[in-house]
Amino acid sequence: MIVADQKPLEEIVLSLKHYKKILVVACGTCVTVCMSGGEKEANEMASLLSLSGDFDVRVVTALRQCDNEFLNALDSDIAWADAVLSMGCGAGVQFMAEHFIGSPIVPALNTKFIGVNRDLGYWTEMCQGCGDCVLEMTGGVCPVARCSKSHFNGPCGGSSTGKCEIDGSIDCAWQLIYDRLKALDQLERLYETIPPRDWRTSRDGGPRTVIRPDMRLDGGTNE
Amino acid sequence: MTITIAGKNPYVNSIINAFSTYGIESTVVNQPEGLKKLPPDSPVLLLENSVLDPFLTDDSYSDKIVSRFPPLEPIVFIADRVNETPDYIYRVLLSKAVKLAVVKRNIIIFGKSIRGAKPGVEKLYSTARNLGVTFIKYDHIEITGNNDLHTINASEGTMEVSVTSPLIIDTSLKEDTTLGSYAKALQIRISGSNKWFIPNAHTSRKNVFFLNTDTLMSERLDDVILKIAYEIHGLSNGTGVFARVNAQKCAFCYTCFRACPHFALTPDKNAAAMFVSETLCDGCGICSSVCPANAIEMVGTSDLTYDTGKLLMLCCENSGKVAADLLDLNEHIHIKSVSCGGALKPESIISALGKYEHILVVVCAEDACRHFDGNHRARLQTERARKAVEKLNINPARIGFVQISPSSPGILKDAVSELLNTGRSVI
Repeated sequence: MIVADQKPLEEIVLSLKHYKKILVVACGTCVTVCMSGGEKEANEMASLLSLSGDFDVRVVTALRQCDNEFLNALDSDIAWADAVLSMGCGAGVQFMAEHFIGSPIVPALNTKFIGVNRDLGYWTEMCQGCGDCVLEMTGGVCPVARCSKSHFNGPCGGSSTGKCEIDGSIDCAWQLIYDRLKALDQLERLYETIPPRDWRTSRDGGPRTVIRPDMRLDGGTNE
Repeated sequence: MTITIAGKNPYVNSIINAFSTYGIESTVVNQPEGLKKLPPDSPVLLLENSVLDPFLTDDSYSDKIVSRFPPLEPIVFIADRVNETPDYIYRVLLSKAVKLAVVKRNIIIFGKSIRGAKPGVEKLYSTARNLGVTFIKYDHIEITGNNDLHTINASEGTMEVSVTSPLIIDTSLKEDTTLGSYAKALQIRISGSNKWFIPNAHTSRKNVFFLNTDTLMSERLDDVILKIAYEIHGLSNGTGVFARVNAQKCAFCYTCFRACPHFALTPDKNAAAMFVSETLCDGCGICSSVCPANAIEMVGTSDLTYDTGKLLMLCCENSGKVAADLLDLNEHIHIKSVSCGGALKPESIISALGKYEHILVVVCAEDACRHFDGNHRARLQTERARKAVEKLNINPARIGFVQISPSSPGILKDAVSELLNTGRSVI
């Protein structure tokens, strides 16, 4: 899931300083589960904004801010508000901005990564959406997202006792890859060289699109 | 009605017989795997087997040993040596000390703290004191000597004490590791410094009971079985307050599942939502406060609404509310009661701050939360609220936090005065 974190409150208040009536829009999917932008957090945000004394605040929840149908349901509340504080991820904020042309949409979160929930209140990054998955070769541990330097053919010299030189709390991805391949009895795979990547599948190719032609009655153009 | 009995214990047949007189059949399970297959609300009794020095639990054994020594030789008990001795074992220790003091034995009890004021202990403590039992507090202890004569050197700060005795009884608990695996299979929660049970007869799950025949004390086995039988028959009645999940709003994120101290939430895979067992729910409200989707309501309670005033005390009903009711408060100080400190969200505290000059969150003392970690959760949520309001340039010291026992209104009174008079938080 997409994992996000709340922006510092003072930054949010500053972004809203020119507005009075604020609609706080929670998002019911990823950011609910990662406890940054669901209805509970939106209510907490609303109580803080109200307490500051500068705002009139309403709260609504869109099940997903990244789907048109859920945004359509917000029309009347949007019309009331001077500005919208989106508790969604970066995709939600932008989609709302696209959808509600006349309304300022202010982000309440910093979107961090695609990750997993390891325990109550604890998420870690697992994927960078590079667009060309190599997990089959690396024992199910991603060298792109989990190696600080995204190395493809073994660790750098900064790997020490299984930890990364960037931060001692980070596991060395290549140590994890080694351990995992060993457990799978596939250590010989470490001799396979992963060739240089074509990073155009990732960010280097510009903003990306996914199209399912079989679902597109126009035959697969992205218009 | 059937109860599953897990764990080895010499009294198992007596226990089965006792249950049968109350219309409850028993099945015995000898492997933790056997417990995993049970329905989540099926009653289970975990039996712990002889984990204390038999001197503490078996009178005929201790009598035999004591008879070897002349009456004036001190008999020394040592508490808190490895870890803090849990209260229920301290009670066993005190009860044994009293029995020996009655027959004019010279008893000395070493401990890192004196539990004279602890509920359930105070009576035994004063009886022991009146019978001449000596209590010695220590920070460090050293025991030397051989099997015939031991020397105990204890110190606390600059005070040092040295005692020689032929007989030392250590009250450390020897872990029953088999039982731990049963508890793990049932996902019983661990409580603070204690183990995963509340002795005779509760655990974190309402349907899972615990019995250590060693520590029954004056409670007879039959009485405890009667108590458990009564609770089993009442299980389906619930507590009146229970959680209900709105399946439409539930994000199926498992937050409540992980946070519930009573194992009352289970995933309903068909509905892709959590389901609350009203039988197992203890009505604490922790699930409702942690739910990021606001999908859990507490049936039988009403939402917190606020008037205005000088100070609002947000009180756990088990501690803060009881103590606050004993205080003579003026009309500007108001009390709101919640089922557990863990039921408080930062939002509840922040909203209240808009109506009151000061907020005081009052929850149970350390290790005293009947919902295991509600008091700790309340502390964390209070800290979150304080950090957030500080960002709005609001003095976070307007929000206080205090942990008390229900019988300590004096501490609460002091906390209130400190918060009101100095604006400093009580934390």
